[in-house]
Amino acid sequence: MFKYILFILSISLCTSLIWADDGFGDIFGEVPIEAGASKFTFNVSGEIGMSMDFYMDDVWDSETKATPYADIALEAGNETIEAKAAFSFSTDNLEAQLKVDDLIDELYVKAFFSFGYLEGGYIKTEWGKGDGDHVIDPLNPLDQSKGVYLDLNDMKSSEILSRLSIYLGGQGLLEFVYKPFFTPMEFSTEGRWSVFDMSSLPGAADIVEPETNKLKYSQAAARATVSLGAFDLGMMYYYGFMTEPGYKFTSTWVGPGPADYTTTTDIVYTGAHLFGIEAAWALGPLTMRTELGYWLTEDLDGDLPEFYNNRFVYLAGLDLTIPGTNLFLSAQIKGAYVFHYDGLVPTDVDVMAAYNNTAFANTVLATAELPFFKEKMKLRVTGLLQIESVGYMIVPSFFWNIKDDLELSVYAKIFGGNNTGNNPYYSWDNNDSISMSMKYMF
Amino acid sequence: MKKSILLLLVLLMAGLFSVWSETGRDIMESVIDNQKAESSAMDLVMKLVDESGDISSRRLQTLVLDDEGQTKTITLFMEPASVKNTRFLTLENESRNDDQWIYLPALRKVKRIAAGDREGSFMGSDFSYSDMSAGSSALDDSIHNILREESINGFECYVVESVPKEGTDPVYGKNIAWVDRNSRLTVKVQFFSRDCSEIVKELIMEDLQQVQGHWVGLTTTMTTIATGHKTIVETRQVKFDIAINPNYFSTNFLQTGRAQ
Repeated sequence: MFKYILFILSISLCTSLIWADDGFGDIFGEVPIEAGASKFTFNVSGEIGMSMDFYMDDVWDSETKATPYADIALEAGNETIEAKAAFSFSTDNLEAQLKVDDLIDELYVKAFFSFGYLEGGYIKTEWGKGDGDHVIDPLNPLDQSKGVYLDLNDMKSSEILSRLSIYLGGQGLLEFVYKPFFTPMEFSTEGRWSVFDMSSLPGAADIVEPETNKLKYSQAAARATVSLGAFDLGMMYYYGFMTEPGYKFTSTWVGPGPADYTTTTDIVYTGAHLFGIEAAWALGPLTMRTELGYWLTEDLDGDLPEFYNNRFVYLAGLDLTIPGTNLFLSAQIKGAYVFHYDGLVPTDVDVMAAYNNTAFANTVLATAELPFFKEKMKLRVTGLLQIESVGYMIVPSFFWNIKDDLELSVYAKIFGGNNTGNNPYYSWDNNDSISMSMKYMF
Repeated sequence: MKKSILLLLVLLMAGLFSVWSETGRDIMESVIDNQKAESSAMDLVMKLVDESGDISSRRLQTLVLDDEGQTKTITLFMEPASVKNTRFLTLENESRNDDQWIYLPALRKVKRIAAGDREGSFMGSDFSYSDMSAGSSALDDSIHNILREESINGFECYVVESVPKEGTDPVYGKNIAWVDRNSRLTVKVQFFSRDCSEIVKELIMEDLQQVQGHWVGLTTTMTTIATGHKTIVETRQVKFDIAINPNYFSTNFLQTGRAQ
C-alpha cells in the first residue's frame, strides 16, 4: 500500500509545474491555446485553523480541548491529466497511534480521454442524491471513532480504488469501480465516543480480526447517472461487503468439567450485493431527492447470527429556500427495514445493531439556515432524530465571514435519547459541547 | 418671422414624431437586442462594498450560449478561496423552470437546485438572481411607458417606466430605466418596492464601450438604498459571438472542469 501511495505521490510531484490561472483559459487566455497544446497548472489550497471544544459534562478526562489543524491540497494538471495530494495535519492525531489516513486525506491521479476519464489512488467518493447522507454509497467506510458529524462525508475514510468513468453524452456518466482491498468502518469501543462495549461480548478476551487488505476482499461497483429534463436519475450496483462488523462466537470445551468452555470471537464481514436507484428533481421552489436500495446479503434466510440479514434501505428529502427571506430549509429521512428480523437472539448482529430491538431504523435530519448581512453571517440549526430509540443530536451554529477567507464559527452539540439498550445517542449524553473554530482558507 | 415660426413648428413636430415613433416597449426591446448574441463570455470582478467602505471581492467567469433560442449559462467562481472552483450551470426551458446545477468543490459533487429563489442575493451581492437573469421574459411581463427624455451623467436618455403586468409574480413593484439614446444601454435603473412607495435599489452603468458591435458598460454599480451597501461589477474581458465548446454547458463539465 505504501509503495502504491509513494508511486502516485512521485507522479504528482515530480512534474515540471507552472503557475497559471484557472478558468476558461481557451476563451480568456492572453495567448490562445493551440489545439493539442496543453497548459499545466499547479494549485495549493486548503485551510489552517484552530478549534476549541468545551465539554459541558465532567465525566471524561479532557473537558477542554484545543486542536490546531492544517488541511493542504496540492493539485496539478492540464487538459488530460490531474493529480491531487491532500494532507491533513492535526494535533488530534498525536494522541493515538498515527495511521496513514490520519495524514493523507486523498492521493490520486486522473487521466482524461475523449470518452471519459480513468482515475486511481486513495480516493473519497460520494454516490447518491442525498444531502450529506446516503443509503447507496458503499465505497468509503465511515470513521466514527472521533465522534459523529452531520455531514457523513467528514467521517469518510479514503480508499484505494480505480475508477473508469465513461461519458454518456454531456449529461450522463457510466462509472466502473474496482477496490482491491476492504476497510471496515471504525468506531470506538471505549471512551467518550464509544458506541459499543466490546467487553460485553462472550469472547471479549479473545477477539480475532481478519486481515482485509487481501484481494479476496476485492469489491466492484458500477453506476449510471443521467439528467433527463427536470430529473437527475441514477442506478448502481455494488458487490462486496458491508462495512459493519459481524461477530462469530465459537465455544470450545477445554475440560475437565462439563461447563469448562472457552469462547473465542471472530470478527467477520458480511458479503453482499447492493442494488440501488436514485433521483433528484426540482418542483417549483423545492428540490426533491430520493434513494432506494436493497442489500442482498449472504444471510439470505436470516438464520446466520454472525452475518447481517437482507435489508431494504431508503432515503427521501427536500430543500426549500423561502422566497424573499433567504431562509433555507432542508429535511431528509433515512431508513432501513431488516428482513427476517425476530429480535430473539441477543448475539445476532442484526439484533445487536438494532435500535430498540425493531426491524426498522429511521433517522430524520432537518436543517434551517438563515444568512444575513449579505451572507457575511449565518445562523444554522440542525437536528437529528433517531426515531426508534428517540436518540437525538441538536447542533445550533453561527458562522461569521470576518474576511473573505477568514471564518469564525461557534456551535454546540447536544445529545440525548432513551435508555433502550443499544442507543449511542443515550451513551453520548455526556458529550454535550460548545465549540469555537477559526479558519483561514487559501 | 413666419418662416421662423414655421421652421420651429416643423422642428417641434419632428421632435414629437421622434418621441412617439418608438414606444417604451420598443426602447426596452432595443436594449435587449443590443445584448443579443449567439454566444458571449465575460470575465468579471465583483466588489462588495459595505457601509463602512470595507471591500470584499469575487472573481467569476461566465459563458452564455444561445442554443436554438434557449439560453445556456455556465459560471465559474474563481475567487475568493472559499468559493474557488464552484461551478454553476443554468439551462433555460421554454415551458418550465430552468434546470440548474451547482458543483461544490468541497464535496466534489454536482447537485441539482431549484430555480425558485429569484429574490435571494447572488453570492452575497446587491444583485438578486432575478436581476442577473432579466431578459426577454422581463420585456413581456411588464408594460413599458416613456416618461420623458433627460440628460444624465452626460448621456441623452429615454426615461422608461416598466410596470409588471397583472398575473405576473414580480420581484419589484416597478422600475424606471434611463436608456442612453445612442448606445441603448440602461445607464441608470431605479428598482421600487412592491407597493412602489420607495426605491429599494439603484443601478448605475459607466465606462460604456462598443465591443464587437455591442455596447457594454464595463462598470456597473448596484446600491441597496436602505443600507448603502453596494456591489461594483468590473468587466475585465467581454467577448461576443465567439466559438464556445457546447460541452461546457453540461453536468459532466461541472463534475470534471473539462469539456469533452
